[in-house]
Amino acid sequence: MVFALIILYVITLISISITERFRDYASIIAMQGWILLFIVLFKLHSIHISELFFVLAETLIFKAIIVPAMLFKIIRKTKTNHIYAIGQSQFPSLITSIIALIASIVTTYYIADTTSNMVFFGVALYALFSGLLLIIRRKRIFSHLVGFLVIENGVFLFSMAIGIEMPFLINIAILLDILLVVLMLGMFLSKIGTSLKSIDVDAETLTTLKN
Amino acid sequence: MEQISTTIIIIILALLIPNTISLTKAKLAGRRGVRIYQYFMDTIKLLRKGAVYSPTTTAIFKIAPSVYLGASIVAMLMIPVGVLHPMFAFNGDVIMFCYLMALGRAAIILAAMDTGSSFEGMGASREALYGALIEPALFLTIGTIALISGSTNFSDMFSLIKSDNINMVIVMLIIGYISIKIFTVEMGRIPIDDPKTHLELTMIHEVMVLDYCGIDLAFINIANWLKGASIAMIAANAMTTAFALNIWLTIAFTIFVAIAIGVVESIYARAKMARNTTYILTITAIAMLIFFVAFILLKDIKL
Repeated sequence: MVFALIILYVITLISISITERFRDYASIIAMQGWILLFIVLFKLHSIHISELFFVLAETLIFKAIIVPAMLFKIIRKTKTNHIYAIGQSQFPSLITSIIALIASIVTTYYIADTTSNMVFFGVALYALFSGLLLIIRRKRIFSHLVGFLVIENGVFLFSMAIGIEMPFLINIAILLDILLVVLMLGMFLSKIGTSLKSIDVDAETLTTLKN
Repeated sequence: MEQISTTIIIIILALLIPNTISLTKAKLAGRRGVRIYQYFMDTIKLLRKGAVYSPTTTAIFKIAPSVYLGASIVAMLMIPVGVLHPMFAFNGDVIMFCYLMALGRAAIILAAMDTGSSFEGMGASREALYGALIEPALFLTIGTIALISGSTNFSDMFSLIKSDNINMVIVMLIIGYISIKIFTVEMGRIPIDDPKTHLELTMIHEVMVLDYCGIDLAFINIANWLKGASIAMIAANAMTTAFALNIWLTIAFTIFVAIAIGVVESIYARAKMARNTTYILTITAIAMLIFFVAFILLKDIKL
């Protein structure tokens, strides 16, 4: 079962590189949250019950429900749903994502040792690359937030790769980080969203101007 | 006898698939639709007619349909139907299958460019691009099956896969899904191409054969059907291997593929031309992922 979930998780990472709408980003983040929840459920059944409960609650409440709900709220408030103002092919993004996938597999094959789980390590690495690519390649700030969330999910999978659950404090710190980032961005976009959108449009119009 | 049965089944399915797709679309649109043997009759009519050649074309244009048909027939003779063995079987025939597919495509692309028509040149350019993007997916899909089974022979590949491992079942189901996607691209179906389009600018496969008529067009149609049936049969074999390799289940699944494509074509519009490359590369990406997953499973790396 974990195997099928891992494949599904990688497919969500591939699809995030070709997504063109923010609403789809939020749906993919929600889906990743649910996939992680089930992975935790199947993978970490041997840890102490209180720790398992904490990790499950954290994954369910934050990753699968609260963060996606906040993302949807931001999209509704700012009324921006497209990554680009004009339709563009996502072919270059997909190419870079495939290169990242190959790089992750090759790196994992050469550096992962017996103490870590190769599959989780490779997928976590690919999640990190995917998040970084989202931050580097996309212009709008919402994509950067999604990139950050993808990286955080990657870090979560890294903790699975080394076979131990993260210490409580680190886990709580990461959670607070995410929550604050999403909250701040939500406030930021809802207060100056309209101006931000107009600046964005102007910038894109200026790039097409000719002498 | 077994080999002849396999060949006859694939030929019948090759005729049934386009008719089933067309009939499904007609029924969903509330029309009566064509008779189940209509395409067959049309092709018989074309076979009785002679060919007309433009003076600008060379011998390439004349021999291309025969090369395409020949390649498709030989490729089709390598595909098993469930547990039935194909006519030709030898080690490495999977590689030859892929190259025969490429040979047929190359012949038609050259013929399209030989006409000197800008429309056909445009179609040839698109076909070459899509072919270059989908061929890695075909290679990786067949390579994954070869990796799992430990055989490079179509005849043994599917029968050697054990369906008792749930992880392998998942892999085979995804391989079947990817093969169906390859079918839609190779056959120029929606969302890549619309076979019913009447505008040359939006055509891919149809625009390359605009200058063909009569017996040459019949050859191209037959070659297309055989190619489609071969890929659909690979998809059906992969899907049924996941459960239990069986002749009737394989045939039923091939018909199911045709109906599913008919349903998809009824509810979806074709994609924008700029989106096609992303769509095809996504299929290749998933094929690559499954190849690595199969590799990990064979290495017995525990999750």
